[in-house]
Amino acid sequence: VRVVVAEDQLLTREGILHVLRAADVEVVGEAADAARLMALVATERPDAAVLDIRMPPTHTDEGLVAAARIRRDHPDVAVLIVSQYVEAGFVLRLLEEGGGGVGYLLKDRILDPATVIGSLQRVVAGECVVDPYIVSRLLSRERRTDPLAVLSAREREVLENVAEGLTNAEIARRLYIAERTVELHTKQVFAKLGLAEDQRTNRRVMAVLTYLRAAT
Amino acid sequence: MDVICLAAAAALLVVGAAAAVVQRWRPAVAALVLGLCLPPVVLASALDPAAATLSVATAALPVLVPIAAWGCTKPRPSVVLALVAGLVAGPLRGLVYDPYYDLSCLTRCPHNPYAVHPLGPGVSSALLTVGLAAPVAVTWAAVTGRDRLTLGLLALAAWLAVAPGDREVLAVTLAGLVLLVRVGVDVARGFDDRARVAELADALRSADDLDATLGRAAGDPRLVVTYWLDDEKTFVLSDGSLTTGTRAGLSATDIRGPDGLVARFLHAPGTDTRALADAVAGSARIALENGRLRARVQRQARRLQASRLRIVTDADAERRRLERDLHDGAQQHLLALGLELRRVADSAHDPDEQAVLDASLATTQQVLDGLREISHGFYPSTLDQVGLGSALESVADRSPVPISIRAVPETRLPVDVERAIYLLVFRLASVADGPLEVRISRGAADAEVRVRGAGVPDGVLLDTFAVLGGSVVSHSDGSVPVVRATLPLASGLAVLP
Repeated sequence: VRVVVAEDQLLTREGILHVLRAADVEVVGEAADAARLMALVATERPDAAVLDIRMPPTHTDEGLVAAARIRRDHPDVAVLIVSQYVEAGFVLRLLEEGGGGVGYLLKDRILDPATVIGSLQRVVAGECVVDPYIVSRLLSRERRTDPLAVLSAREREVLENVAEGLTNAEIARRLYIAERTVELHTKQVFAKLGLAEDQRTNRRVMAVLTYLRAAT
Repeated sequence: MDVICLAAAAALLVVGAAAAVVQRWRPAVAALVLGLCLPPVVLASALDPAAATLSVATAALPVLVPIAAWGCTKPRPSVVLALVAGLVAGPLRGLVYDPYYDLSCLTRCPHNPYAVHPLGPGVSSALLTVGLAAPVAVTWAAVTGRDRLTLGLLALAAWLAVAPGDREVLAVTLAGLVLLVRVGVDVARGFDDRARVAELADALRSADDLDATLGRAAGDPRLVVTYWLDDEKTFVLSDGSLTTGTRAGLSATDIRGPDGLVARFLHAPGTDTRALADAVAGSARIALENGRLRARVQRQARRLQASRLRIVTDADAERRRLERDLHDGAQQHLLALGLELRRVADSAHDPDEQAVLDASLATTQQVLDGLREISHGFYPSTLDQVGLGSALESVADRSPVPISIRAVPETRLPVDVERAIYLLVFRLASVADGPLEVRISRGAADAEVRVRGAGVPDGVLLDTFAVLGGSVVSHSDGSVPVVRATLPLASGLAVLP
């Protein structure tokens, strides 16, 4: 796998590079800002770009803007955002603008190399990745009445995995059940929550995340 | 001609007395002097055929026109010169000139009994030339001055008086009439001023807007009152804003009290502010002092507002700095530390060593989690990018109590307004002990936030909303407490950086 990395904080960038190289990922370019990143993506044609959201010059949402541009101009380049923000709004924006092949991880996942590498492989394969911490936050949000009470324990587990961006096949592997069973569970979950099922991964994830945010 | 002149003299005496009543001293003196001098001059020969009277009258003649000029206009140098020339030349000519020997009036002119040493027509003509200084000076004043018509007529009178040919009576009559009209107008204006000042005193008793009231009294709508604040050594306007005490195109009149400068009127250059100044120094003094007190209070209110603005802005900047420092500094170094631990742990062979390193890694992860929770909410760093609705959902994600965001405007609100609302919900959520319901609505000029179930807002919130020109109040809807906040959409203050 060939990747370019964009991160303006030196120590964090070194950390990301270390994790990637340790897993034999080929880093073909490093950037400290979005403009340099875009140039690298255009010339190096990597499989994925790993980037931060906050970058020069304005230190606001450069990374998200760059992610959307990469996915639009180079659909074969996957994007993995590594951000310090636990912000579901950013995740939804990324999924909305980036389609499939995008992922959102929190920065401290760098300390957990397996997750980083696994997520990178998933986005390269065209799947979505949402940091489990963000999903668990949404699931455990304080509500007056728990809208998820209608779900069985297994269904709830499936829902959590769907929200993290996993495909049915992946969920089946993770839960040691048949893919067909996962399909049945997801159908049940979507029906119980009143959600329209969409085959596109990013749409499916967005529907679940939006539901979890709005449910009170 | 004699009758007209006598009538003018009588009228001058009356008008002069009236001028004295309204304290127009210079016109009063001029009118009284002229009124007293005209009859003897005109009637000299008729009343007393003695040549002596005629001599005195003739000697007084050159002075009368300059006196009229002095009464009509400000004592400018040329008019004073005319007065002096008349005072010198008239009597001196009376001493050395004997018309009896004058070839031009051989038949009509009697001896001048005061002529101590008739020097002949030459010297007399020389003195006449000095006397000519009067018409020349008055003419000059007429050409350069503002009262062209008045002074022009007086210049004509002066020329008539000294030019050959017996037109002295015509000359003094003309001068008398001009002065009469002039002083008459002055007196009328004086009475009008007194009436206006009397009205002013009435108006000031209930005046809210001193500037407009004084402006009306002075007939100058541009009149501005600036108050002197001695402790700050500065002028302020009635709304408490600072001013230099000058303004392009306006003249200044200082009003002084026993303790020094009180106020300064800025007014159109032609406005006569004497009566106003007298009034505010006397009867309307209390109104001016009240105005100054009000301006001082306004000024203090402004300074307090500015200081509150600074405190809120500084606090906000500080929150932002803290959030950035945590992200860019502490978090980054902790991550680096964690990576180092991970690297060592991966290559460790001793199980004990491995266990210690794993525990350290777990602790590092906990510190990172804690740091993230602390830094979030300090400052809504993602608000601008995700919008108010999404940012508030994030507050709800972390809140220990359920928060439902019921309504958020479709369109984005001004950035200051969004940040203030975020801060409101964030702070109310952090102290809430029951579920909250948030509704944000956008009106024509205001945004309104209703938070059902929230407790009493703290001082920081009150200050933040106040500096933006809004308000926060809490009341209760049945048994449910509600915090209601409003903010003008056009606060005009880029308060929160």
